[in-house]
Amino acid sequence: MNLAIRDIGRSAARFLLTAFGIGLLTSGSLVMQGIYRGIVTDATKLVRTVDADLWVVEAGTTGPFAETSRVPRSLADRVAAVPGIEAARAFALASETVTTGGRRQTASLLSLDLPDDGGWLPLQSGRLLRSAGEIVTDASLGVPIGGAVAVGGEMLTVVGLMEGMVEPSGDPMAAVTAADFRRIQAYRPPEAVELARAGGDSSTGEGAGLSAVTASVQPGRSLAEVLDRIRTWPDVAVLTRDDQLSLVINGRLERLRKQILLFTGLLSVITAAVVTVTIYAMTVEKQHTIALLKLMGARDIIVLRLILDQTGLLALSGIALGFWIEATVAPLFPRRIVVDTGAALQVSAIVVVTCLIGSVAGIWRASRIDAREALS
Amino acid sequence: MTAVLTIDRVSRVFESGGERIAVLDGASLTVAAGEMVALKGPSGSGKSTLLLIAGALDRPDDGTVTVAGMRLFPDRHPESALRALRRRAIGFVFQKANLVPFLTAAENVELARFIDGAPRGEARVRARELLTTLGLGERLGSLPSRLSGGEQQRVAVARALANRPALILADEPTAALDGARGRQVLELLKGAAKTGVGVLVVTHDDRALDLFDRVVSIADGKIVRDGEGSAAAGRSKAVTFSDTEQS
Ligand SMILES: Nc1ncnc2c1ncn2[C@@H]1O[C@H](COP(=O)(O)OP(=O)(O)OP(=O)(O)O)[C@@H](O)[C@H]1O
Ligand SMILES: [Mg+2]
Repeated sequence: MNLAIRDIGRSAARFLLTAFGIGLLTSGSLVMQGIYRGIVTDATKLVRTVDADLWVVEAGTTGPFAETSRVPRSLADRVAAVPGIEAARAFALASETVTTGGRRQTASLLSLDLPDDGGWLPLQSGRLLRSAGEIVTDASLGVPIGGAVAVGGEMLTVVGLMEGMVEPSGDPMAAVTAADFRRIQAYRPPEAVELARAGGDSSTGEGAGLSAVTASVQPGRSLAEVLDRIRTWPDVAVLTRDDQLSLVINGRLERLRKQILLFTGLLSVITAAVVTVTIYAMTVEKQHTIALLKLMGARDIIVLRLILDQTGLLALSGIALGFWIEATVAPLFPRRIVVDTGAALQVSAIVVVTCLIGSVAGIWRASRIDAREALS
Repeated sequence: MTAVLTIDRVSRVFESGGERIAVLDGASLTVAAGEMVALKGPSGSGKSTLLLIAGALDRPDDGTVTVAGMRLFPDRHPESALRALRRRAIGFVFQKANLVPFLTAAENVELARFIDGAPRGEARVRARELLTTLGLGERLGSLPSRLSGGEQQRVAVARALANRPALILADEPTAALDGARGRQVLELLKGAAKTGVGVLVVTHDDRALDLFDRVVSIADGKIVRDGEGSAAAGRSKAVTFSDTEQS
């Protein structure tokens, strides 16, 4: 005989309403977690896509994802010459304003040194770069294949579309040839050139070098050995893939993570308060029944089960409703929401623990009920 | 016959507002197995207090109390042992039926077996059997709110009997019922006594005294009269206790 379920049946409407409230709070936590994980996925997408064993960056910096890193063009050849290196590739990334059909937006440009045509990019449709004047963009830029993109004085034609290549900010990424990249970097609008001349500045913003050099280590060769070797060079710093990933996550996303953690904590506190009030009220309502159980000689565990079962049912229905609400609203969000097993388990565990904490007041109240109260 | 309840020179003193009131003052009472005993007395004479002490729900200040072979006072037992005694050896019936409002009649009876750890199936059979015997075979699935006062009280009697207790303690079980229904409830308790249960009933109802084997009167915390009731074999119904009637 499950007393908890029988009792809930009596006040089903209130129970469902509370479960729905917990469901809303749970879905809030899920969405927050999902947004965070979505942002992490986006932020690490490039590092994971490039999939390099090593990132050689400017000395004293933590690489192009954290700050400005400048290395000379010749660095790629120097790295390639290190014993144990399989291949080294120039890596250049810059944020540019692009104009598409009269609309201006920011995009991150990635430079590709042909014949490296970016075969590792997640191409969705179209083809890779073959020559200057072409651009492969993330589909979210909104220009179809064959469309034109104006950037830094160049007019490029979209030849391929990628999927999921976006910055944590949501800006799309695009790949251009190194030649176009240099021209775009060197470009200054005519007015700026005029101004610079008037001010006596003769520099025309000479195209800067690379952001970094990425490299892969030959199979069977020790990564540490190669690392040690390059670390002796005074003009560069070296990061492994894991360094780079944790830099992106811990450096760029630390505040965001704290924000989301705090928000989830806040939702948990509200959940605990809702559960506390509900379970406490349900216990007070059952006061007479609990006294009767004690009078009839029921063990404490029976009274405890009565309360814990109700708490558990509340938590479970809340979690179930929470997932349902999350699945319903997630498509309405403009950003990617990634609710993986880890997020699901984490949020569920938080709700269960929160509900258990919420039941403490009810249990405490029940423990203070005297059997003789059944007689009054 | 073996005693299922022995209360010997028990005292219970309450303090209120610095004043000490001896509610029970050396009261002694025995209920044997199979015996149905009435406890009468004026309001405030200590009847309910005596029942609480017999039911392991209160402790006296002096004397000895033994229920179903377990000495409750002056010995001390942990709360868990007292609960075990209550669920196994004592059945309670009160003025109000005190049923669990969200359980059906049958489930209220099953509850007693459930608390004692009986298997579900067995508890069900026992509940059905008892309620049918008590004339409630048609109301097994009814919630207490759908039952009349008399029906509720019969469910309470069935619940008290569910675990085959040695002792039933009933505090004015007929007070909320009309004469006929009150008598019906006492007859059910009498039936239980015939199967060997010791039954102690606090009652004001003189009309049903013929059902009792013994009538005990209490006044000012003392047993003032302890005599055979009219149900005792061969006794005339002339024995009355009008001198100790409630005030
Ligand atoms: N916990 C307590 N604290 C203080 N006084 C109490 C307590 N319990 C009972 N009393 C007092 O003890 C006296 C006897 O109470 P009890 O309930 O035993 O009487 P009773 O014979 O059952 O009366 P009634 O016929 O009205 O039910 C009363 O004066 C009551 O106020
Ligand atoms: Mg009383």
